[in-house]
Amino acid sequence: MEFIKRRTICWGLCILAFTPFVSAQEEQEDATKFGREAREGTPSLWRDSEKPLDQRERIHHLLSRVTFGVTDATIYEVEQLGVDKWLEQQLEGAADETEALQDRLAKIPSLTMSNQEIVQTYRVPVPPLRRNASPEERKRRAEARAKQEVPKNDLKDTVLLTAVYGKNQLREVVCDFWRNHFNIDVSKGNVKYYATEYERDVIRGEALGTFNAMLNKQARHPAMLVYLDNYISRAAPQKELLEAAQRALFSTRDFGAAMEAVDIAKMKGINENYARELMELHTLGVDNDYTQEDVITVANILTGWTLQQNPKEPIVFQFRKDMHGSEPRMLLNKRVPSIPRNPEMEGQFVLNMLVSHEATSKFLAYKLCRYLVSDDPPEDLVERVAKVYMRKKSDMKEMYKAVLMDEEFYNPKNYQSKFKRPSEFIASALRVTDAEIESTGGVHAALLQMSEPIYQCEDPTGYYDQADAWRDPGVMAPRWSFSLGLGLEQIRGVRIPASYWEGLKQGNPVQWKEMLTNRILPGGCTEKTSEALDAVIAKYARFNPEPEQLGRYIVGILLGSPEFQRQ
Amino acid sequence: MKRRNFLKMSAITSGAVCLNVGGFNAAARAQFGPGDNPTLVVIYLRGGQDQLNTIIPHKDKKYYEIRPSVSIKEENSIALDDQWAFHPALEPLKSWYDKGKVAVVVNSGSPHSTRSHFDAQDFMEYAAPGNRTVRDGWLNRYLAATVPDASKGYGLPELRTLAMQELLPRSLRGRYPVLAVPNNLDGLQEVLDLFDGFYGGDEKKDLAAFLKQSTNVRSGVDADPVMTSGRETIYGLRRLQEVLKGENPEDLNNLAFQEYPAGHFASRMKKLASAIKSGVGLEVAATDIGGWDHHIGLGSVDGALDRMLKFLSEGLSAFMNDLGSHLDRTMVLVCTEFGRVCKENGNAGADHGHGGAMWLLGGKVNGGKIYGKWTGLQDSVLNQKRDLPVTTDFRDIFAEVLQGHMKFEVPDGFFPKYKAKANSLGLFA
Repeated sequence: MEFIKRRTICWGLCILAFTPFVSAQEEQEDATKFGREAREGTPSLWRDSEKPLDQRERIHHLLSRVTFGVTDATIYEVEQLGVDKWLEQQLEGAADETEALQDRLAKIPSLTMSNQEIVQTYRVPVPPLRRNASPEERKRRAEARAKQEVPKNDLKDTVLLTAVYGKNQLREVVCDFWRNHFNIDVSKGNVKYYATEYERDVIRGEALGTFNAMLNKQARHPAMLVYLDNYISRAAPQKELLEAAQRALFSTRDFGAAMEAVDIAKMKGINENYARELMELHTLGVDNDYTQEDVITVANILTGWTLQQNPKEPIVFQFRKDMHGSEPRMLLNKRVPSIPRNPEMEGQFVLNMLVSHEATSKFLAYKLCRYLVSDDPPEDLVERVAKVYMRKKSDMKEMYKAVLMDEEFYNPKNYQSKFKRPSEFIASALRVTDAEIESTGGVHAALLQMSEPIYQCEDPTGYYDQADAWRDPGVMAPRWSFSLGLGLEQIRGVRIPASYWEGLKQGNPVQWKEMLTNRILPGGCTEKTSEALDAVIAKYARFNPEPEQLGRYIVGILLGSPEFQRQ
Repeated sequence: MKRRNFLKMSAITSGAVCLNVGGFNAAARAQFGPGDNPTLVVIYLRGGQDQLNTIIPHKDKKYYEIRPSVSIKEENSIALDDQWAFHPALEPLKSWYDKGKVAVVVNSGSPHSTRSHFDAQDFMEYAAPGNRTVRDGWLNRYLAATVPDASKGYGLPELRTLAMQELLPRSLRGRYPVLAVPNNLDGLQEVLDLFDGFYGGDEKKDLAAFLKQSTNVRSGVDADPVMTSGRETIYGLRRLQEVLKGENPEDLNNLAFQEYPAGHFASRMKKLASAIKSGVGLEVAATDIGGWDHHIGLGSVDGALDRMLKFLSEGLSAFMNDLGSHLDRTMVLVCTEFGRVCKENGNAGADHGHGGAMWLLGGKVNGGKIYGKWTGLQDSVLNQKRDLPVTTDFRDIFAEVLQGHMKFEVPDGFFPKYKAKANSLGLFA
């Protein structure tokens, strides 16, 4: 956090001039156009879609959207505390985490490490592969490569485990939203060494804070600087630097850092990648007011926004004047001043402009409503949320509240209308079965197979958050495999605890079915599902299975049922 | 389920539903018997594939000037003629080019100026540049417009279309149901049987509904999309398994590793070849290859582009070999959202550009030729002084493929605000 403090001091100089939200916004003439439109929702099947939600349904609906899977325990919690109080606690991220989760996370050393510590610990040199390498050599090489993957795998595990076991479910859900919004991909270059801190400081650190802070932090975070190439974007070529960096290549033990230095030195011009996505994906939304020229302008202004990559020093944001070209420029029809004494502030000026731009408020409000309410959110709700964003100076909690406490949220049309994304499906299946994840490999493999591995979305858009994109014919097959596999304990490293089957010690199959249905589908199910389940039970009952064995089949089927695909 | 019933059902229903689909009148289209229909396979190179290092203007000094570190030296490239050369990684395609089975359209792309991957991909896959209201992919529109006419003795083939990946590309998304095929097809038998009762049910009613789904009623009141998706999963994957087993009785689990190189792409192409050869009536298939966004390390003869072109060209060559005589009725179209900036950037890479290359392989393409108007690399002719200009609208190519290869008279309105030109490039002379 040291660098944040340092930054704050620098900002102090200019803060008065550049604090966003100080002036009233100019009128935006164009109605904001948004990137994607949903075509159709997923209609709710087993209830009259006009009938207002009753109290139980309201709780079920809220929990469907702000948790990774509605469990008996969470319903009980809300009933005990009352909806408002529960929501308040969730918005503060104030619920106590279980000891089991805390212990588990405490055993992952990389989680609390800085970028520098991670690089020092895990970016071990990999010996080159020689043609006649001995088995010993090959083994050492494999071990070194595996070590480099450790922080990435730790991070993926943490995201998975907190989504499933975390008590602050709302925070986990919005973290998922922002992770997609400010997407990075740990498969790209050195991102994997910086992603742990990115998750901790940028995503988790600000998901209940302000958008302004999150935007500023991601713009300066090594993970994002590398992922979208801004770290090598420079105004002027530097021959001496390149030569020095290339010389260093031959004398270094840390080849990764030296290569990064060469990359930076070689960069002869601007790289537009980050500048474009900053406007298109992070703030204004595609085509909202900006042009290709604006992209080039922003890229120029952000030259020199790079990272200190020598592992002997903290690996943090660094503004490099020698890479930056300073001149006054026009952006979005406004003048961005040249600030030769502190040129980093030119970029700060741009971030402030974007944060307080009305198109940003609408774009974020739309995406958030699409995520929490419906694939095709009502315009007036979006507008109300956008206004809250402007009025409350990008305070995220206020935005979440504006969505979740709006009566439109509880419109019966929205009830069980969203098709779960693969990650939501898997997390909810693990939650409703009290599954114990002893090792995570099997779950990660399933996510990969369903095209949504954690922190590995190649496109800067992040994963789709609309049903349409995930509901193609064919996609159900891997879900069913996972469902049945989970019930029958065939997912590597995952088991359902014995206590889950306690209730099957007495009673008969009909009662077991009812008990398990209530647990897995607290919103109820259609007659068709119920009858089909009866048929399967009847078929298996002929073989006189152990109650637990039958229960496992029932669970596997319920997880694969149409109802469980919805939220 | 029984295929005969399926075909019988489809014969009854499909005659009635082939009219007025997709928002424009169903178009005239030649009828084909099972097993002799044309097939189009679309491969999308996501990320903006670089034209200049792929189809190289090897006699142009300017090319070597503006790409000092990533150009392909003349002695390394594969000369096609006095103007053009292939990247060395395209060696497997050279003989196909010589046989007239490969054509390339240079400087093709979208009239829209966007440099956003996502917009450019959308615009191309919906074949509607700048238009954000079209939500059905161009291949899906084709399928919806050409539901075969049962009265001419040909029912709706169950596997008319396949996406060889877990999620549909946008070109195949839309009202016509398209099956997304998971990589691990084998081993799904048990769950398909188990969940039949939950998503399927009454075979007759389902088939009727399924066929109705095939046209334009996907958003109807009784069509719950989750149920529909499940049903389509079951019917489609079962049928595909049957087909692949029929073609490869000995070895379903190890499809790709005989004549094909390793990897998902080759494995998918192998499955497609089997489906085509089986005569099941596959008309449209698609698959993506991601990762062409080479801002960094595009490389010369040994960079990222080299690696990727190698597995692309090896996979394509194996596919064409495998098809044998079926190659004449099978065409592969390779597209990308845009090319890359002509000048290399400081990272031995290139940023998002404009004009790019489109490839046509197989079928009756008049190959062995580079198509498209080439205007050189002088700053004055470049788009915004940096990219290859677009001299061929991608819709000209799409239209010509639909007309020349698929024998589909493209109706007005198929490409919004665009009138398809007949045979403007002469790809199928």
